[in-house]
Amino acid sequence: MVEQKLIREDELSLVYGETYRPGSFKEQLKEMFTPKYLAFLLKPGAEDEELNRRDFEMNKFKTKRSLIRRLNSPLTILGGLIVFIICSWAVFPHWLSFIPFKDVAISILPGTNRPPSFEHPLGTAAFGRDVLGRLIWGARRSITLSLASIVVSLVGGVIFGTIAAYKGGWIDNLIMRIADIVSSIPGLILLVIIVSVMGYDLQNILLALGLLGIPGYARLMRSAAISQRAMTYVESAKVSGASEWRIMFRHILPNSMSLILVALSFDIGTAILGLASLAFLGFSQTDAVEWGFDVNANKSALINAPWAAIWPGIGIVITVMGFMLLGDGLRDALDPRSKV
Amino acid sequence: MTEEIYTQTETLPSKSVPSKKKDPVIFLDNVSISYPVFGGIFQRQIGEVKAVQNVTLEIYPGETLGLVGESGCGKTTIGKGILGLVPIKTGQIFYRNSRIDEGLNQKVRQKVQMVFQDPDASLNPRMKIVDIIGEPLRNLMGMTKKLEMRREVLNLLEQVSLKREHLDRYPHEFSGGQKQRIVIARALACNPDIIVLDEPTSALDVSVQSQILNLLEDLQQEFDLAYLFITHDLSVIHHVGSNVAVMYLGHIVEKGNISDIFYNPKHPYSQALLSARPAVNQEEKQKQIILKGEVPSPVNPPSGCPFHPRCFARTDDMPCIEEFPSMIKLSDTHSVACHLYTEE
Repeated sequence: MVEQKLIREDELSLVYGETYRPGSFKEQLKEMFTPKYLAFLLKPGAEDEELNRRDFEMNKFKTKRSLIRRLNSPLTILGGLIVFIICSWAVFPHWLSFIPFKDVAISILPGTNRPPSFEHPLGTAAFGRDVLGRLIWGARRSITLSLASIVVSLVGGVIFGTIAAYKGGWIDNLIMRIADIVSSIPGLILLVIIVSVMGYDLQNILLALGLLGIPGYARLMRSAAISQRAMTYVESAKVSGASEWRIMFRHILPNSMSLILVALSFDIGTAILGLASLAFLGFSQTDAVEWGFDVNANKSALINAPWAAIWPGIGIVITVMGFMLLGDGLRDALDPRSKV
Repeated sequence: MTEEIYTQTETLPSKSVPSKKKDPVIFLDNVSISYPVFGGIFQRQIGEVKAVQNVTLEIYPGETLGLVGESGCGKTTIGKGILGLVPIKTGQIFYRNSRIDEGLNQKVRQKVQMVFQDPDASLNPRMKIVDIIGEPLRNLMGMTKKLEMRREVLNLLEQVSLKREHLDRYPHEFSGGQKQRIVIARALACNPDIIVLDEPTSALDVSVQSQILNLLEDLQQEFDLAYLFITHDLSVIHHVGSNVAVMYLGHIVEKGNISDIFYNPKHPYSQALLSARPAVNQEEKQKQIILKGEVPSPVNPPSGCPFHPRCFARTDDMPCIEEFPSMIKLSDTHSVACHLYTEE
């Protein structure tokens, strides 16, 4: 038995190089059947013995080069866990909330502003609506709105910022002056106008919030990309015949994304609060369940029933924190130069 | 000339001057390049750095043309001008028979490649080696299949003595010499005719320098490459070069083969430059010529011969201040731009 194991370890270190540190047979078996290992079969060159990437990837797995390994820090895991829970609330409230949507949004039940009890773990708000139930159901609207509007800002900002930085000259001036004009529009007033003219339509609000966020990302992206444009690898990409678009979006963009990732995680909270301030001004739907609305609606009862306003607020804070932690970990993990 | 030097020049037949009957690979015809200087209110253009002025150069297949001169004299700008990385102000550049000063098409890009000075900065830190070397294959040769590209890149890596396991690594995992090998492999990817080497060894340790130089020599013999070797290290050029052009303040002041320039320099600037070279043997040691003054600014170069304010050979009856000397042919290979000499 012992002999067999020795031979086995010997062979493996021959195959995988000196970085290979053999574990127990059980551990090896476990690693063999991870999705990661099975994915090696699909990697380019797997069918060609000479160019095979599989054993290299196996080595990589061991030497902490994989993305999963790099994300393995406690804070990142915490962030990922928070994001996972909030997102599952947003996607599956029917299953995760023990109270149906009707009871937290439409029906009027007895027992307004009750303190936490066994039936209502976080207490109740106005009309006897359960705070925890509203928290779970409200995640859907808050997360959808903030993520979608940020995606709009991000995509627009990154594209315009990169083009402005790379092209320079009058194109740069044009894009940045338009960005100045857009960012001079007061966002809340524009939202109020949109809602009062076109009605309370989530898509319009989302689009308006997204478009208003573009200049910020464009400026950030431009400053990051200008410093990258001066690097020699951009010139050598030109020498290798890369087109302008390829240089912009395959060479410069990945190298300037780390700044954007940080800004992104901060802005999720801003977007949730944007909808909240709209609700504060009275533009909302009566049957809308949403964290920002809850904070505003229940702040009048802050002394009698603090739980009704505080829990949605904590929800916003924790969501923002979760995205920030995850974004920070992701930024470090995506940088190939960082060591674990 | 001592006997030792004489024997040294005799041992150069393998890389002797190629016959002039061949057409040049790259021909620069009276090329001037200048960079604008912006300043004042509204960032107007208030002047220009005349980086390269009226340069005429030929590079023949299989030869190594060394371009030497001190910092800021326009060596790198010539290299970038050939690759179309900086706009040409006047003059023409030819690759064989096609003009390339108004932009290189894909066919020419395949044949004209460049190796940059700093191997660390010229590799994209977020790309794997297989993608970096595959970049010219994808863009210029239209290679799209991953497996095909990996096979080709592996071939190239083996040519520069790197291994299979380096395919999927990132640039920061390599040493300086290995990075320079990767850059050279990328330049070789499309079977070029000429590679512009912009100080390829200056960022490396001395031991690694010699490895890279030997690699470049081997590749030159294998693929019949022409090199434009831009450097300020004269001993490197002495080792690998076949022809040398000496630059001063945007002008080419002297052209010739190795023995012309190193053992019989004619231009006062070349003489001063070569005398500043550290010598190992006591016999080789010459009297150092110390030039007076500083290099003038290329924004406002001196009139006539750019070297005249610092020239030690100039006498008052020479027209150096007024007119720029034309290139004077001293022999088949050797020509110099100086009023001291006249055409025979």
